[in-house]
Amino acid sequence: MKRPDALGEFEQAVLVAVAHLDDEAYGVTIRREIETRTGRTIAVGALYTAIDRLEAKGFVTSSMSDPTPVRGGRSKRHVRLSPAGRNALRQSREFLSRMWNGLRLEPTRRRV
Amino acid sequence: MSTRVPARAERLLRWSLSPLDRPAILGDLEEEHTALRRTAGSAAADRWYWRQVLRSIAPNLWRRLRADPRREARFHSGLRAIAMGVLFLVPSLFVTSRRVPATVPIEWILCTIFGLCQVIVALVYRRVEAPSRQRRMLSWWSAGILSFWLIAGSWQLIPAGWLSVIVFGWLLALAMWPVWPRLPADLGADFRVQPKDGSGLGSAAWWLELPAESLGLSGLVLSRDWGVTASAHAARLPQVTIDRTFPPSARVRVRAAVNLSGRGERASVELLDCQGKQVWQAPAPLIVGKLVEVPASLDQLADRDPADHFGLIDEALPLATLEPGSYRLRVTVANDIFQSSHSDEVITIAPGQRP
Repeated sequence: MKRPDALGEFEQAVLVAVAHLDDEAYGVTIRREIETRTGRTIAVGALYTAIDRLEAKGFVTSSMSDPTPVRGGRSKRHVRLSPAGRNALRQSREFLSRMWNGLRLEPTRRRV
Repeated sequence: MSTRVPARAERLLRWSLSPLDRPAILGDLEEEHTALRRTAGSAAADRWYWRQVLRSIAPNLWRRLRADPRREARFHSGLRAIAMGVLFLVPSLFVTSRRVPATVPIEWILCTIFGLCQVIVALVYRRVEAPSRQRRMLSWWSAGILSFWLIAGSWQLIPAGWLSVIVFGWLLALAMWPVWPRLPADLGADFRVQPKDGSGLGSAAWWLELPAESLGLSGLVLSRDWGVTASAHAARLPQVTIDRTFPPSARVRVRAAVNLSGRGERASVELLDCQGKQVWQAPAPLIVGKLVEVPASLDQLADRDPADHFGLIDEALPLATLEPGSYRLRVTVANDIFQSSHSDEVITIAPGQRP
């Protein structure tokens, strides 16, 4: 059974992006960070769904900024990594590196 | 060249979002659209915006559903109704040796349509009061048709059939009551808000124009307690008054809606004399979660969700303690950064007997 605080692949990507961006993390920058690093196109709805889930798990906190003119007078939702989120990321990386330890996946060669 | 985001796409997105998400997501997309327009041109930016909107509708609707317990309850009751429809359908599929009564598909259609409507309403529409009358009527009619089928058994026995509808219909309706999908509880008409154009449905207790900007204040509404509580019609007496002259014994309250910014708003109500000198001031608590909007149009529904985002100021005025004369009424709301006030109401206290 899936643990309630387990991190999915996309959630992990969002958390890592938030960690990279630090104080500059909000919807636009997180999306760009993930797209630049992975080459995947992210829908803004999916991103905010993931942020909501992460916030419910206590891995990130978010706050609304003051409205800015460049955004049509709308606020930004700034996202910050919480200590629990930092721990979850560390554990997730350790878990994966333990699993990968000693494993080398060579590209399969076709026999002629 | 257009400098704005595609209007239809923005409208669609706005509608699919919960009010809490709107500033952040609409702002994000606008910011990216502006940047993309500079680098790739207006057409490419518009295409990108449309793609984002279309790909985000499903997650947005799901999040809006999950964020609102009443909307979620409606969604689940819709699913239950569809399940009931399937239950009605299953016997008719298995009873192949007999003639399938016409009422079985009718029941199935009723349940399925009702369930689908509930699901669609939960996903698409904003929450509204759902009178239990619908449930009563559906329950009665479906029970009546079912009893007609059970007892009359044939369309030829019309008198017996109708008798069964009358006699047993109500009993079956009572029995079926608990299994029919439950609609959200009636929220009461104490604090109902309607846009000022008055095109909404139903009768509103008050009309407060909801301010769109953060920390905006609606117009002030004065309501008067007429003190006829002994009358059976007391509840129907209009509280809102257009009078601005009151005897000192009158019990008058001032009410206004505030668009909450979520930064710890404080509200106060003041009375100023004709020289602008403050003669009375009281901090007014902001009541949250009590405003219910009467829907007027889909746009208004998408833009406003008063229960969560509007606070209500409801403060009694101490007319008995003030000298007769005219006073200006001022309501002020402030958070840590901004302040807004509304002060266009003048009230007059007439000379008279004090309580």
